[in-house]
Amino acid sequence: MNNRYVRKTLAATRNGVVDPSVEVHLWLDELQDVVRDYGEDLRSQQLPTEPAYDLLALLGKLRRARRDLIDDGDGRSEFEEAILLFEGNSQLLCQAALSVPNGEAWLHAATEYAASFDQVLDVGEETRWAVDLLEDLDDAELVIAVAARQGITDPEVENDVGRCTEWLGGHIDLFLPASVYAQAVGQTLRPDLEQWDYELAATVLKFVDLLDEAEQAEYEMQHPIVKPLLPSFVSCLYEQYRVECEGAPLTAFRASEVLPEEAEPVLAADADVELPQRCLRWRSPDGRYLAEMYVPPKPTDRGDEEPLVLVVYRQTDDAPAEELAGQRVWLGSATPKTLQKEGRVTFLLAELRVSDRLCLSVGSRDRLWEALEE
Amino acid sequence: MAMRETTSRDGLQLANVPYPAPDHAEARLFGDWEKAVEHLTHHLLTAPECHAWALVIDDYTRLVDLRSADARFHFVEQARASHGQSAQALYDRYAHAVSADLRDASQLEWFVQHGQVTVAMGTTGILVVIVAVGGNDTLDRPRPIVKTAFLAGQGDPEAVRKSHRIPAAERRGMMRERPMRTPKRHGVSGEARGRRQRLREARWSTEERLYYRVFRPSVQHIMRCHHRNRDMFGRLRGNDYALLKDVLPRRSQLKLDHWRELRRDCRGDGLKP
Repeated sequence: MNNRYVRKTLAATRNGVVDPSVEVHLWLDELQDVVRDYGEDLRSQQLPTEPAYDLLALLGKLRRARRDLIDDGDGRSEFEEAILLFEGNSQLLCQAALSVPNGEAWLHAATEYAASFDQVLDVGEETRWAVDLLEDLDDAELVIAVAARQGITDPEVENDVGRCTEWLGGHIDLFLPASVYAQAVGQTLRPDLEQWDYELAATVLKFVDLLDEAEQAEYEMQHPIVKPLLPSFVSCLYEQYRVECEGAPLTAFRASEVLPEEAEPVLAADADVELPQRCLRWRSPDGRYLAEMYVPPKPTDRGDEEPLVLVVYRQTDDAPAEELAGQRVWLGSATPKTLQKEGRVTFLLAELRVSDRLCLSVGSRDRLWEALEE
Repeated sequence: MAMRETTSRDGLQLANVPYPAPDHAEARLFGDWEKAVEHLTHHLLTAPECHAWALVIDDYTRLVDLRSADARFHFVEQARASHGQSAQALYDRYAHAVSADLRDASQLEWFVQHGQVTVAMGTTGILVVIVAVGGNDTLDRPRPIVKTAFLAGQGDPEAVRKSHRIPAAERRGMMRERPMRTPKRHGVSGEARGRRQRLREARWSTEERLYYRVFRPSVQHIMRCHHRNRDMFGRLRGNDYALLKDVLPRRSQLKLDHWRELRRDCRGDGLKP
């Protein structure tokens, strides 16, 4: 039978990283703590709300879990004890638990999480944050489902939590960092959950959505049609990040600002005006060399076939850097070229035009030369 | 017993602790006095973890008044000013506890080596990370140094520390509570809940307190890391604690009675630190 809660195509599942018993055993520990610490209170008329909430959420999680995982953790008697506790005071427990969920606070936290994607965050931290939010919402949905089974509902709470579930559905891609956790939860589930308890099955739809999303994302990332980015393009992106986010000195010219516009018709009046050529200059990371390239201010007769010569020379005596001859030169997204004996190398305007930024490196692609202000 | 090693004449005397694997005999408990004091500050002297340490180190509360944040802060200030010398008594007791757990780790094989990193845990639940540093020269063997040894699952002291330093608006991903449980109406306050909890725990034996409040949260933290410290392809990120999952017994073999037995096997007396 096809089990939509287990996705063998996903890398973590395929490689055996996912261990559903870990999650089930943690739930059993938590259940044991609640019963041990609050058992007496939970049987009384004056219920503490949060332990009641924990009890319902954990019972829901374990009810939808595979029995073999509960047995493997030697948790059957603890689970049964908790069920008895619940059944002895179920009405009050449900009412107390339903007073806890605060959907507005969850939505606020989730929006903050979504906004965090504009910044750089440690992968581990991102995962924990995503998991925390998913778990938190899952608890609320489980409490509602378990209470509904006892015939106790609270439309206001359901509506509140429903808005969170809806928000999650619209932003499920942001929760891909929690994919491994979702795979683990998926593997804890009874394969026949939908037939066994429809209310509980509805609580895991968010995990199913996330698993679908993860499958799609992994497929897209690993599919052969996805070609690796050109290293020069990555260098330029990195350069852009350094300049914009870290305030690093500029090491590249923006191609659209320094190259002549593409085949623009030249007005007769303009044609008479003699504009100076633009000189782009870079300095090597060790400061020993300079590179220069003269760029026409307007399109020439050759259009994009215009050759642009880059000259590399020593800063100390202005002599051509002949000692660098034979080294590879990367400029923007153009195909790397070899530096000639006279410290010269030629690029076509067309090659440079496709670049966003004109980052220069000589010898080593990772060592960017610093662009000097004109 | 932790072996002391003098590293600066007037400052903190650093100790060596047992290395759990056969490739080294000992590891230095931190690289220098500053690292040691920094660690004591963030783990042994920061709430909530400091309260768990009080269950591990017998006369801890005689050295520091843990109930008072001011007293803890003052202790840290003195330790810094004296290059760790004033914290020597606390450091020695801490080294003693870490040593005992590393001996347990060696005996029970509760350690994992991953490249230059060794992660270990003993029956108290102290999670120890040792890193072999240096050794580039063929004649110079890498020196193992303890980078951290803390009680996991007690709340994140690092997050507490950062949250004090960073404005609320920038506390991205730190100090998160479960937002769904944010009180929207009146309820039992955290303080009242804490009081009830303390009353309940007063009925526990010392052994039960150590197991439920220190050891088990540490194991749970390691287990929790297993799926939460990974990227979407399942590759480990952040830290290596999760690797311990595969060498620890399963839940069914790690209940209170099992733990008591393990503790007796390792230490003779279940309570001996």
